[in-house]
Amino acid sequence: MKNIMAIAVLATGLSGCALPYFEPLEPTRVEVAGSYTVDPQIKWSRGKTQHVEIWTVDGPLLESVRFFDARADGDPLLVPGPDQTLPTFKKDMRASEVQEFVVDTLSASGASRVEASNLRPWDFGVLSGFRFELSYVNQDGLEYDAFAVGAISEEKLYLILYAGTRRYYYPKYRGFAEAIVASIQPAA
Amino acid sequence: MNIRLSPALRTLLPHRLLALGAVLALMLSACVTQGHLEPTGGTLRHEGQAVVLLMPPDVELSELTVGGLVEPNAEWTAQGLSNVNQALADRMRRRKAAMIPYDAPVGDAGRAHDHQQIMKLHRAVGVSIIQHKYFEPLVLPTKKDVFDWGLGPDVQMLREEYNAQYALFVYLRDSYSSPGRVAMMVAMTVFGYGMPGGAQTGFASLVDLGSGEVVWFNLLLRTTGDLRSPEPAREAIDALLAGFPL
Repeated sequence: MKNIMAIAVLATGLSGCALPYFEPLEPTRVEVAGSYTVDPQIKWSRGKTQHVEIWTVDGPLLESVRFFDARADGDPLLVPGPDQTLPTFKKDMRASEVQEFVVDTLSASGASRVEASNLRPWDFGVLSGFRFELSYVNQDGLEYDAFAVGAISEEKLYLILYAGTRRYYYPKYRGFAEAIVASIQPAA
Repeated sequence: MNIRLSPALRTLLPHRLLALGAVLALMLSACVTQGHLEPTGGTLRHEGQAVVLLMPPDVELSELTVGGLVEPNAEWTAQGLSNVNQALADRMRRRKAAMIPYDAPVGDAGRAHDHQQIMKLHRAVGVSIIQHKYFEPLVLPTKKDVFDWGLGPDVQMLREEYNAQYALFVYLRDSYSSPGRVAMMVAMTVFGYGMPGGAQTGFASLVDLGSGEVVWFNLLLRTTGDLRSPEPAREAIDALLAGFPL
């Protein structure tokens, strides 16, 4: 019920004001994760938390494209919370092991019934990478669909995740998300 | 026994604690926009008397412990839910809309699952509206000048199954300080610290079952109220549905 706890946060007014805010992002090519550029396709709201850049239109709880900063050997995908242990990336991981790494990270972050499927080769810009589909439910039991694309280059993992509620929000922006990951180009 | 600050107790408390509610309200007002929301120009589209499907109110009452933990209380929740249902029925009798109660599908696990997912999606949409429309530091640039959240076309199954044009979703949480917390609140004021007590929070959405659009939304956020008793529950529903368009 973590999302419902947001109400409690608002009610107390204790931490909400300190949360990061979102800036407008116009549909012109932009650099992300300090490593590559993409074409946003449409206007997004753009926010940055530690190691992850989030693009959303209706809110991250409903849909988002997440660009993870390049992760090096020993790095978790996300910053662990207090008393939280997250799996870490290993530089010699194969694509199937990265898929398992993402599944385990989602599970450790509170998602359940996390399932990955259809792992296949995929061009991450000029890099030979991989892609797989995901499904999971959040702590409130709401169903989500997602897809992840990534590549390992110079012992670092580059990963983009598009996720949204299975009903309405995932299909609403999926076409734009597909176009975004198809537009990856190396940063100048 | 669990208590909110009674008038008698209030008279014994230092002004610092008395002002806590006002301080919290000021803190909130600095960040939170008040008032109901609806799409620009309005989107209510129906002929004759509107038929509104009342989705099961999502109500939970809790005790706020000395340590600040919120512990749900099943007995209070049952009482609060009964009071909320009664208040909603009374309220709708005074309105121009016909209200029909939601009846969960029996013997059809697939339909029941779909309905549950719609209710969970509404919860996520409601939280998103509050976070990104009411709470100014988190307003999304993509939502700055528009109000266009929705639940999508899946809600049309509710329109067809219940022959209703709209669905009303209600979410309410109410918490009350335990006696130990009240004692701690009093003690903390001696040292010059304020300590928050219980709060009443919630939101209500009116959803067009044809388009899936949220056509009206309101937020309730305050440090007063008590859903455990019929009359305060009626007052809470009146506050939650202030500006309700039907």
